[in-house]
Amino acid sequence: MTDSRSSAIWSRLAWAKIRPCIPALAAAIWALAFPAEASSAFPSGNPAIDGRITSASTAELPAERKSSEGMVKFETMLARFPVIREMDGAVVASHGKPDGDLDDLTPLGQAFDLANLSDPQCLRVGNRLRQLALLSPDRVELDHAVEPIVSLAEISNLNLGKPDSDQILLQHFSRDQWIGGEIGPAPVAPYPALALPQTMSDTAAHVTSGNSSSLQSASLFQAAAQASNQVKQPIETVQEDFESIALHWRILEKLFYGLSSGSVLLLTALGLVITFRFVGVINMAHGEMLMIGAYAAVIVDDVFRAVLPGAIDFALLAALPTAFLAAATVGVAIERGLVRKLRYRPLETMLATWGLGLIFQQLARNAFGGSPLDAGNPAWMSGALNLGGGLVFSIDLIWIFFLSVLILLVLAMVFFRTAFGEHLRAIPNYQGAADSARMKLGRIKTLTFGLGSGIAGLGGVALSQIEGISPGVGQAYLVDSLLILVIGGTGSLLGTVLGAGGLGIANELLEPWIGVGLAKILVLVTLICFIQKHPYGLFALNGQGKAP
Amino acid sequence: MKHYSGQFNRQKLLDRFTRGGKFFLAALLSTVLIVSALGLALPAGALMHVPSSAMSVLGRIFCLALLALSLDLIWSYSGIFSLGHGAFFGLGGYVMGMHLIHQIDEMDVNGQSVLADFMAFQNWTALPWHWFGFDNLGLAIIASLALPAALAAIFGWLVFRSQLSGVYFAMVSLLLTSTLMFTFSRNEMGFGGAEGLTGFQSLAGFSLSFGGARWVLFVSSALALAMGYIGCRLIVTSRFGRLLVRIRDHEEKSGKLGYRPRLFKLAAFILAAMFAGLAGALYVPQAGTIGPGAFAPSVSIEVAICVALGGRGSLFGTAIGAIILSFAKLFFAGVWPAGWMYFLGSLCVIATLILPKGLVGTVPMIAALKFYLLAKIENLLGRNSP
Repeated sequence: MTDSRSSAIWSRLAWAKIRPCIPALAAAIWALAFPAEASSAFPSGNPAIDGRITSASTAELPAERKSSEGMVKFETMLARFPVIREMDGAVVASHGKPDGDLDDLTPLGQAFDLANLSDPQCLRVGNRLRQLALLSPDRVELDHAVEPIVSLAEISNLNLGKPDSDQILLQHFSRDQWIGGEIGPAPVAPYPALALPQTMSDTAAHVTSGNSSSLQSASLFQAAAQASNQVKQPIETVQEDFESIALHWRILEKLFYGLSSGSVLLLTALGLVITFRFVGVINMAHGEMLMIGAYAAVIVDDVFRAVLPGAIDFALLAALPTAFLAAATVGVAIERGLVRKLRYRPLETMLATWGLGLIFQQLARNAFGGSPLDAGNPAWMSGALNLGGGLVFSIDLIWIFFLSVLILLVLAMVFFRTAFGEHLRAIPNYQGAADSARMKLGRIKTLTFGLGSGIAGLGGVALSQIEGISPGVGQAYLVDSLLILVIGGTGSLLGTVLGAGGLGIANELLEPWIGVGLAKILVLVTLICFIQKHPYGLFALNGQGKAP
Repeated sequence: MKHYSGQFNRQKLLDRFTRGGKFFLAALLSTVLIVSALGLALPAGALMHVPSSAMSVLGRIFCLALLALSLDLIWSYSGIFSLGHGAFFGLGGYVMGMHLIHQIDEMDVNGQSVLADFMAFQNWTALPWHWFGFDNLGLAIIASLALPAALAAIFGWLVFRSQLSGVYFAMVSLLLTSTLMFTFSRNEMGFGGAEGLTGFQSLAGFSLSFGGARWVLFVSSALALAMGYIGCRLIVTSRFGRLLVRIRDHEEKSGKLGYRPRLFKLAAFILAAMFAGLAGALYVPQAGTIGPGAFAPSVSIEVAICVALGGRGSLFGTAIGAIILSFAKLFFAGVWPAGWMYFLGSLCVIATLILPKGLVGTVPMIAALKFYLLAKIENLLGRNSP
């Protein structure tokens, strides 16, 4: 008896130790199983395959460029990426093999202004084009491409830390030797930071003295180190320092971006959690509340542009209450017209509200068209903040972060300092008592539904500052908000905050590391393991069941 | 409670089907017979000739009906409302799609194998390891049942273990299917990326554009739907089915009586997943493509709407819902593409708000309405007044 019990305890302890490791183990196994696919954006090294893909696009090129085999590879890249032509500084995205990130960003035939560094879309397309040009065997084009990398001003735009850029650089250097036919002391003159072994120690001293931009050229040094055997020794010592510093900064940067991208998510999820906690239904049209808020911001922006062009910087301040009111009104209408009539049937309510969401989406598509609309950034929100040491935060994300914190504080005030909040907090647990105390439950629920929708509308304003708004924008946010609801629980707003922040950071950290597909699976597996112990989230409502 | 003797009794077997269900089976059989006769016997130019493409459309509708049927089994009889049922459908479909990709042996205009083109397009030098074994049709069919069952077993066991139900289960299952959608749409996962698998040519040696092959697929879809209905009906009228309903209504009490509610729910969930996988495997060769869109939450929710519209618990009502939804989709795609979303959205609202029992449940209510109105009129006329 004792034996079996103690062995049961031991096995349970062992399980408790093992269980947290399961997702990581699974990821490791998966990464071992798919070693080759991870770098699928690059030429496979098989000239037969690469050549066949490009057979269509090489036909249009001048004959002498086709001669080199490197050219074939370059054209392969061009054919693979959706970006093809550069004309007068504008890039025309064109048909190609859809490739990860860029695929959903570039509608066919859209023109991009490469000089416009404030628009993330143009920036990304430009970066991609520069990366492409790095593969070119044409020396002039190559110099042209490498110049901005080495030039300290633009160094942050190329995301040198990302694995694909490193790989491109490596490929570039190895091809350089290959074309030259020998492994010389090159990589040659145009790259001052790389070329000169004798001045390498000077550069290293310069870098270690804390020059921020040089910090990010750590990967350039790595590339150079692997390319040239001669300079290996002096570099390696410097490189170790770099790697430890750069890792810290990079994690800090990712944490920040995770928090700010999580803040739109936070606002959406807050609205959903409030609706679920106090009204008891999941509003599947919640993503469309976000969309309504975002379109309200776009409209306010347009109105300001037309009527008050001088006060355009204050359009955002006007957009906030407008979006809140618009979404809240729609929310109140949904509660009165639909949700109230489906009382005690939460599952059917999910279906019905989802249908409403479809109708809203199609209405928006008919009214505004399917292509993304932008609300302009006000002057005080654009630009980037250089904190030194290689940390660059874009200012609009900082503002959005503060906006969500502010909204959170206001919500906390409403819940804990007003009579409405007191009534509200009484509802989930003491509905009968609240009814007996002559609280107007129906009205409170309606207002709460409106409040939840309105907060999602504010999230929409924040979203309109980050990316273009299209009718389907809410769907992805709805799914993520559901995830946050399950993780965070409905017992406390803190759960939602932790869930949103955690999900944002997890996405930022995981997706570059193991890829989007695997990151999503990892998040789901973590969630399912998590609900074994906390079925109703981090903070369950009083009275909700405990774990078995 | 009826006493069942061990002896086979035809009447008792027939008693396990409702009147509507028998009518449904008869209608299914006659549809198959008429369509086959018109499609195979008449020459291609004849007025009443049914082209093989129309057979594929009907077969696809039957597959959707089977999918909705399996959702009805767990929603109505086990209380598991899944908004991620499309995950099992898509999984079964992907297994069949991988088999069909293996079957490609044609050459394109350049004399290059089409299969090699597909691999070059995916930037592969060889098919990934998890494609191994699907070139065998038998294995592929078994896998299209077994993989959804395995996913349902793992997912269901973990979620039922944490005692989540109702809205929470719906949310977690929605997360499951949307996760699968993201995973399958990535190139690096080796499932064909965002476009999915397409360009199928033959199944078991017969070309998929050949009318006979389409007829076989159409008949097997109808057969699968009929067997699915009969199977579900036998399940829900058996002791197991009655226990399922008991557990749905009084989970804690049945646990205290010694049953293990979690296992019963899990068994129903796995069964439903296998039906869904079968539906997916039959759907793909008739649709000619399978992509990550099959895992989209909207697909799963549309299936739930089929169930709600047809009538929960009736099992065959889901077929009516699937037929209405599919034909409406075809109609709107031709006439007014933007109207489809309006139609579907209002159908959601109508099915839940106005037809809480679905179409099948509303018919008896209309019949009852006649008696109600007659009684009212007689009252008004004062005939019944003492």
